[in-house]
Amino acid sequence: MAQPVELILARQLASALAVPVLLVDARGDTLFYNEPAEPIFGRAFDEVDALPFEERAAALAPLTKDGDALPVQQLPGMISMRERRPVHATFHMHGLDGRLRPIEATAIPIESAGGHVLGTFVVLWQPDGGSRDRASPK
Amino acid sequence: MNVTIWGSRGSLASAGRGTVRYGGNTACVEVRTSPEAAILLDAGTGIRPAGIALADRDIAVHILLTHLHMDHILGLGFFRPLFEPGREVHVWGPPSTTRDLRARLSRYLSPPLFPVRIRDIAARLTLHDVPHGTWMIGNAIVAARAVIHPGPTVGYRIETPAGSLAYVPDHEPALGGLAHRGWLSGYDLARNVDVLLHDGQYSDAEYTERTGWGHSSVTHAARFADLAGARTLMLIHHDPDHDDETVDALVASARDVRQAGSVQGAREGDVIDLGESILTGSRSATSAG
Repeated sequence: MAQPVELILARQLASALAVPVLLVDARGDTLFYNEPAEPIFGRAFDEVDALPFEERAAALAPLTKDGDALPVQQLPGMISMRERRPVHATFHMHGLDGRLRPIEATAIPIESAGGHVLGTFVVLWQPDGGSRDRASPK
Repeated sequence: MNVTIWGSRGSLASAGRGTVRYGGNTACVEVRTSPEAAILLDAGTGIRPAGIALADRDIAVHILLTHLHMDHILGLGFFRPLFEPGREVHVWGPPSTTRDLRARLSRYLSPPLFPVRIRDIAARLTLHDVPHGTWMIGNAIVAARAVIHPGPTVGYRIETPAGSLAYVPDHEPALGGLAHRGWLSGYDLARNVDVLLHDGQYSDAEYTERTGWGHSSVTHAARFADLAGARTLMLIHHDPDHDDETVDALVASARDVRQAGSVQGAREGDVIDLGESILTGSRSATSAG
């Protein structure tokens, strides 16, 4: 089954942007991240097969700014879909290479004309341009 | 399942000596799967002669609009069954994010663009926002899906045990990529259909000049048909500036691209019979043009 057209267009837009973007479906599964986001996730998207929500949550193991574990349901993308509003947050996140990075993210819910939440479009950036990557958590 | 092409032109009606074979009326395709109901895909200027054929008959009419660009609704006000008191007519189409189909359609069917308002139409008219999922019209399973085209736009799939047809006349799948089925706009509609009526408005050169206008080159249409596994690709929505010879050449170039399955150009008056014919009464396969 093909993705809804809203997600197809969002993916196409993301692939054309120079800002890092993560595209997630309504379940929280990672559908796509673009080339500028690859340094943040620590691996090229094409090297990653399907990335279900549970696997992504475990691998990325997000932390608050203070270093406490951040429940995945409190990630901006998940809040944006749950509350149907844009959400901005600052936190730390592990890449798939195991490195911990400071992240800022703005998530915009993708809601269809029929009122269905299809996913979220998350713009990411590293506030220090990536210079403060840490090799180990906390 | 019987399919009649009442209008195959895109964008603007284009009557004239150069368009006699493929026709000048804009989009309207009739699908008959049972004697009790007629399905009309889009209400371009081709719906006027369709309405004459369906006038004064005890048949429910279901008009399925892909979107509300003028070439797809212009004929609605000239569809004879709409002015028959008590005639059962259903119009299905996509809502926008803020307006339902009735509100959107009323912008055309009201002064100053049209003298008769929707509420003054004599037929027993029901307007439906297309649902998610499938629904039944007579014995046909109908599905609508949003596809890539400017503004709220859907394509349709109609299926019976006798055959299947997909209708996606305004579609630019190349914007989403033509490589992976899972990311292919319109794929669920066209998957393994017997007949795919698909946008074939542009040559490759024209497409490069008009990328983002919501239409396909014939090369893209052929690649889409191959990815979807459609058996017959019928190119429709011919550009109003393309005469019959130009459309012939575009159809031939699409045939060169297709790797499996056939290609035809939809011609006004064509009647396609998928499975057992259900047409009864006066209209025959050769009288539609």
